[in-house]
This record gives sequence, structure tokens and C-alpha cells, in this order.
Amino acid sequence: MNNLIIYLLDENYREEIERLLPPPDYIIKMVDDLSEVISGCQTDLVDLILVWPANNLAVADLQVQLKKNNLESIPYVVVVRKPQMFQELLNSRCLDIIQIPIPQKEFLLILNKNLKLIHAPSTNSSPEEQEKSVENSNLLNSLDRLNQNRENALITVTQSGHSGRIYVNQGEIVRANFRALESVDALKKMVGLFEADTMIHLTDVQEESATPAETTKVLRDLKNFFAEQQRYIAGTVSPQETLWIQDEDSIKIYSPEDSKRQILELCRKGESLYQLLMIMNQDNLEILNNVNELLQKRILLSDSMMGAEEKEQPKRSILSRIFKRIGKIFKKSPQNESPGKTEFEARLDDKPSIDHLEQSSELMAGEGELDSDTRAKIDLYFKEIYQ
Amino acid sequence: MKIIDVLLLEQAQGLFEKFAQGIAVQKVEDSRVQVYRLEIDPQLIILFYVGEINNKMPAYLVENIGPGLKRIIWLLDDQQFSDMKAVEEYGSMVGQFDELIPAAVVLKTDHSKWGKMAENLVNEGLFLGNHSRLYFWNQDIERDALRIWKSIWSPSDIPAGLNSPDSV
Repeated sequence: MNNLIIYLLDENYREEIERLLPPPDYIIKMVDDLSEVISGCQTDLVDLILVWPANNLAVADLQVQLKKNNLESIPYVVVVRKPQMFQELLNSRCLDIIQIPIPQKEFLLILNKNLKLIHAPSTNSSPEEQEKSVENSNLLNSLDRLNQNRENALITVTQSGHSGRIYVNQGEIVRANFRALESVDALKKMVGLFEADTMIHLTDVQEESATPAETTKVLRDLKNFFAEQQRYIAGTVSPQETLWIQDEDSIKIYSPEDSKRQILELCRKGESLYQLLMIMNQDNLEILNNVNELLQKRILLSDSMMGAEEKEQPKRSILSRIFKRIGKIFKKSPQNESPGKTEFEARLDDKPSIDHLEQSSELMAGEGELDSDTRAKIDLYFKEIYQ
Repeated sequence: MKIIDVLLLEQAQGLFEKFAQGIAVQKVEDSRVQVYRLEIDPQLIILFYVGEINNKMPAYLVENIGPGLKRIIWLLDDQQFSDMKAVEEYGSMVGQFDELIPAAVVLKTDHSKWGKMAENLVNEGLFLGNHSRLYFWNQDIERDALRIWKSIWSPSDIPAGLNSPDSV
């Protein structure tokens, strides 16, 4: 028996849902008001909330209210009508997204898969270990299962706004991408992630094969790669620990082309191994090798390697520094109140160094990066307006 | 159609509307949060999610736009700079993106405070951090905001050859 709350946002679906989820297998409560969803969760033992049909704002509100009422542990699945909603909700905290229309059998298959996951007994391992191992084995196991059952599926893998997709046609991995990575490189990156959300949507895939290798061989290689990665990590440092650089000068030891320098740049303000593996495009084994080498040379330090004092040092965000700098500019200084030159003007004499310009090249790198076509369009638009 | 999300945090209500005078932004009326839409062309839209720094930010605002966020713009007023109440809160909320999302801090001020600044710094912004530039906006000068709008989106201002091939 599964106890579900249906957050019904369109009355037209009421009868259909009642037919689809009959008792005694499903005990459903349909409400159209968010406050009733919350009170329902507070008074009943709810297994799952279904938002039907979902939209961005409703899901955001639900998320906020669940958090506010300490009900975050209750999972929710969203049902969407339009493909674009699917895209928009990919990064929400929902357990799964089901796009309708969908055959009844397939809908129940997805729903029950989620309910099974919710009811799955916990193991004796620590919650963290359990979560990590599930995340990783899940993707490999799912690919294995899809391959064996010759199923069609679109798998989305997201972590901190970075996302990737795996297209499976008749059990064969026909295409995979993660950011700019394609094919086996993308698969390796996704399999190697530790905190990613993985969603499997059993749906027809139209993609043509861009992965020529045989899927069974690819899967075997991925398993070997994953085992190797785990072995490396076990011999390196606890992946959750934050890594810090020993000092700024150490960065200059390596040339800008050297990926070790990139690791050091990323660890300037502290970064975990998990994040490094996610952010960097290089092969995970290469990253782990480099991290290991930097740790051995003590150019890179982990939390546990650092003294207690340094460990306590708060990690300041770049924005805090920005405001500190601007604050200083406009704060009146008793030593510098001469009418001739304001403190701000004095500070402007400190021209940015070439290092700063080099660092500014990172401006367009990373998450905020726009593709060149988009950049050109926006650039042209504002240039035309300014002229 | 491609949609680009921009988080715009203004120090005082209405600052964005003044800053956006001259560009064809349209307020999205049926939105619960303050959203403005700018159509670059029929296939490219920029959505500005506007939040007021001195008010508590709705948690879902950042959570919603986080994944697709491409720019963060801070619109500040030097006259009231020290009065900002929720800067730390905003800083920490947006801080989760700041390693990766380019940020522009636009400070409404006047010439008397930056008269000696080199022209290229006026145009390209002052370096504040890897992903952050500071621009000065003189509201009294017509089209001064447009100069900043152009610069915020113009990566060509970065000297060629400095973009590392290893950028991630």
C-alpha cells in the first residue's frame, strides 16, 4: 500500500488519476491547495507527493514549504505536460519527472520504481557511504539493466547545475554528453560523479549512434574505470575533505597549460575532490594522479593535513571580498581626508597588474559561459544600441 | 528558443528600471517575482530576475534560477552603500555560484569620485575578482548605462590569447 498526496493543479486530471491509482495499492488524497498538501504531510504517513501537472513556481513553492515545515524528507515526483517543463524542472529537487501523455503501464512502472526506492531498507553502512555507492552503482546498474532488457531510455545526470545525458536505444548507448564531453569521455565523467542526481526516463530515443563501440564492452570498461577510480581515491584523500593550496606562489611553479596548475587555481579558495572531479574536464584518473602528486609534495593540503587554526579559517566567498573592497573605498579614512585626493582616487592609482588581467581571462570560463554564437548576438545587440 | 537567466540585485527599488532605460526590457506581469524580459532576437531571450538587496530574498528565487544563471549584476548606490542590511545574506546565497558565474557590480556614482580613472578601466570595468568587475554608472550622463550594458556582455574586451585552453 502506498500513501500518496496528489497536488492537483488541473481539475481535468482528477478522474484519470483516480482510475490510474486505485485502492488498495494506492491510497491517494487529492488536494489543490499547497497548505493542504503540507497539512496532509503533517497528519498522515505520506510516501510520496505527486505534483500534477507541475510548473516551475508550484514546484518552487512546494520545495520552500516542505523545507519550512521540516518535511524535506518527503519525496515528490512531478508530472509535466510540456517537454520544455521537463527541461526546466530537471534541476529541481524532485525525485523524478514523468512526462505525459505516457502509456499507463509505463507510468506505473516509473512510479513504482520510485516507490520501491523510497521503501528500500537502509543498509548498515554510513549514510554518506551508502549515498555515494548508490549514486554510482545506480548509473552503471541502470545502464546494465537497460542493456539486458533492450530498453529505450533517456538518462539525465545533473550535479550543481552541470548536466549530461545518455541516450539508450534498444539497450545500446547511442550517445552521451556531459558539458563539452562526448561519448566515452562523457560516460566516464558521469559514472565518476559522486553527488549527481540521476534520472531515467523510459522513452523513445531518436538519436543516431555516435558511440561506435559495442555497449557491453563500453560497460565493462566503465566498470573497470570506476573500480580504478575508487582504488585511486582510497589511496589519496577523503573525497569530502576540502583541499587548499599551500601558498599563492606554488601556483606559479606550473605553466598555465599544466592541468596541475588548474587544480591549484580551483583549490585557491578550497575545493573538495568530489567537486574537482565534477568541474574539470580531464580524465578522472589523471586528476586523481595529479592531486596525489600535489598532496605528496605538500603543494596542496587537505583539511586533515592543515593545522587546527587554518582549518577553522572561514572560507570567504569572492563576493565578501568584493564588498569589503568597495566598502573600504567609500569608508572615510581619518588619515586620508585631504580634499585633494579621496581614498578612492588613491586606490585607483593601484592599476590592475598583468596577473589580474590573466585571471580575468577566466571571466568567461565555467558555469556562466555563453556559447560564442549567443555571445556574439548579445554583443551585437548592445553595440548597436550604444552606437 | 534560448533563454538566459540573469540575477539582478538592486540596492533600492526602481534602480534597475533606471539602469535599463534605453534597452527594451519588458516586465513579465504574471510573475510572482520581479522578472523583466529582453528579446535579443526571436530565438534569444534574456530574463532578468530582480531582487532588492535590502529585502529578504525569497529562497526559491536563487534556487530557481541557479542552474541556468549566466550573469549576476549588483546595482549599488554609493550614497547608501554603508546602509545595506542584507549584503552578507545575499553574498552567501549567491556565493555558491560566484566561482563560476561572472558578476558585474555597477555602482551609481558621479564623476567627482572617479575622475582620474583610466579610460580603459572606465569602459572595461575595474578588476574585483576572477569573475567580477566593478563599473561606475553616472546617471546624469545620457547613455552612460548603455556603455556598461555593452561592456558586461562583451568578452572581446579581454585581451586575446589570455584565455587558457585548460579553462573548465
